[in-house]
Amino acid sequence: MTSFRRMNKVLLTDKIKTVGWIISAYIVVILLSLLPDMFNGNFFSKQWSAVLMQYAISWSWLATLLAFIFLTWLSEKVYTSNRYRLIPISDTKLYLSNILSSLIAFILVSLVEVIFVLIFYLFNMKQISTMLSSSFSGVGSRVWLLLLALVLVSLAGILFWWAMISLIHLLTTAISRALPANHQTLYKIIIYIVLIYIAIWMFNKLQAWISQLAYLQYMMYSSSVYTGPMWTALIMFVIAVVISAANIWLLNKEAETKQ
Amino acid sequence: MKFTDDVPIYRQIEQYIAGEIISGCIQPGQQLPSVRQLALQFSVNTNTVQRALREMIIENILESRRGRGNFVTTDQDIIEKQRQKLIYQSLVAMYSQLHALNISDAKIKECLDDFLIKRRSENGKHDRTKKCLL
Amino acid sequence: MENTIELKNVSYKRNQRVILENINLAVQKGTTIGLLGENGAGKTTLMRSIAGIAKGARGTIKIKNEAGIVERKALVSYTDSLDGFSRGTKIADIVEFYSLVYTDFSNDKYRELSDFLDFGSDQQKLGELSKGMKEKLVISLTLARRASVYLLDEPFEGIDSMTRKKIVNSLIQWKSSEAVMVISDHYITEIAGLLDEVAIIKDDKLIAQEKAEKIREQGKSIEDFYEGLYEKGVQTDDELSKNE
Repeated sequence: MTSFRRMNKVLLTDKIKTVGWIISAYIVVILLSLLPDMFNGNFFSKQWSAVLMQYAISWSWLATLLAFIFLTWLSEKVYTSNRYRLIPISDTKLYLSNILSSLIAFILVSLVEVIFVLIFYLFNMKQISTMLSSSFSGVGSRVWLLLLALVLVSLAGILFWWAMISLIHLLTTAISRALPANHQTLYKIIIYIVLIYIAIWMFNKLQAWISQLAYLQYMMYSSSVYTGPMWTALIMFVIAVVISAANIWLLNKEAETKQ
Repeated sequence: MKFTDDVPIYRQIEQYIAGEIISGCIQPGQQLPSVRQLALQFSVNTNTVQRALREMIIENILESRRGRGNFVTTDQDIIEKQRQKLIYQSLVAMYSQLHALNISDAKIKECLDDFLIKRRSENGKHDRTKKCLL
Repeated sequence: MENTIELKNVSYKRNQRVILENINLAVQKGTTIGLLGENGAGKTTLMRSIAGIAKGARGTIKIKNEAGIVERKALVSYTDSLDGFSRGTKIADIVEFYSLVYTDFSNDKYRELSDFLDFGSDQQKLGELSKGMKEKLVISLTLARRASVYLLDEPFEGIDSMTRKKIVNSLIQWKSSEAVMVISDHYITEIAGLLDEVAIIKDDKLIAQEKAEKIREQGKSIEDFYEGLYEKGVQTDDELSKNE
């Protein structure tokens, strides 16, 4: 039997390799963006850390998006590939290990992005604290709580979307297996469109529901700015767990590898 | 080694090894290569080789020594009996083939004598040493 | 003797089509068995079902009395065509993956096999290998596991005869005497000497399982036996259409 630890090591190695490319490209793009500022001297002024952060943030969405897409792609491939499905490990462990390794790789990309913000913070600590105390007066130290809430919502959101994408993928694999062999591609496209439509519709419903819930929170407690996002994160997380259970069932009973 | 595919391979292996013993390629008392080595040489399954050796052990041509492998018998009577058997088998094969062509016994004997004389005169030209594979 | 593989009433349907129908198969410890049949007869699906990667097979499949999928995967070594690795993957990385993921993978055994089959440096990339070399790699990886069952899915497909002989010899040399080996193929002359038994699969059904030497004792070659069974089937089909 293959241990969870070994499975993680294997999956993580692959994913970190891919993410490593994205991080390298991200840094290269930031450096390239800095070139004009190096010529006009902007970069060598006191503002250098702000300039650096500005580019880092403006490119971060692309790095995040690419990391998300590639990690999703690598993860989904695991479920239909003999390379992984022949390994003597339970489907639950395989699934969890797959998600965990993606999450670690994704956090790695986020950390690199945060480093640029941290550099800026370290070199401009005074101004930032004054700015924070003036514009967020009264909130003060609780700004960290807000950041934590943001991180939790992002994590729960990512888990939710990965679970959802796996569900769509595995359901399509399972349904198309039961349909006639002719026109398989057509069937798959139709199933994907229908499932994605349902997923988005459900997500919108969910969002509306969560915002209502957050509003309710607001009515009851004044500190809802922090607890609201926490509730959102919790709900998303619970839903991700439920979908994951369905995914593991599908892996176990229905979804088989490509021939 | 090439085998015919319509005769049990273990029988063909038996015959082959017996031939090697009779021709002197393998000496009495000599150890046989391991089952796996033989299997590789013949390009057959180890189970098949094992079966052939088992049959030969039952016939006392080979002697199995626990943990040491298989050895050719030192009993000359058994080897001689094998030689007779092989000669007889070859003669039967040849005879039945010629007989099927409606050739009389007298003619067969005459041809065989001629053949042997001819061979003897050619002996000088040809290398008579048999190639040993095992 | 103890059965290493035991299949009872195994059926499998996919895409509204029956691919395996009521397969019963028992293979004893140490046996090398040829799984013969035309393309599309169901050989690969049968192997995938035994290996635990085909889902929804009905009936019972037991390897050394284990019916659980994870337990079976631990006991069975299946020739994966390595499609899950990108073309740029180095051989050394694939070996590393196998040795991490399969606890019964022996690096020593792999070294011996790869030296014997001789497919060159482990720094080569998967995409650079010829078909024959890739098959040698697959065989080395598959046999380097100390498994109870080896499933070789058409290992000689599109391979030149020199390579084929080399692979056959590696199978003779490195199969442990207790392990079961299943080799699927649609022509058999080259591997006939390797087989203890043959199982013939035709139109989703297992139509015969027989000992190779028993076939030869009847004065028939395995090829005759196999072709005979396939032709017989065609005749009955003709007869059926006549009756209609």
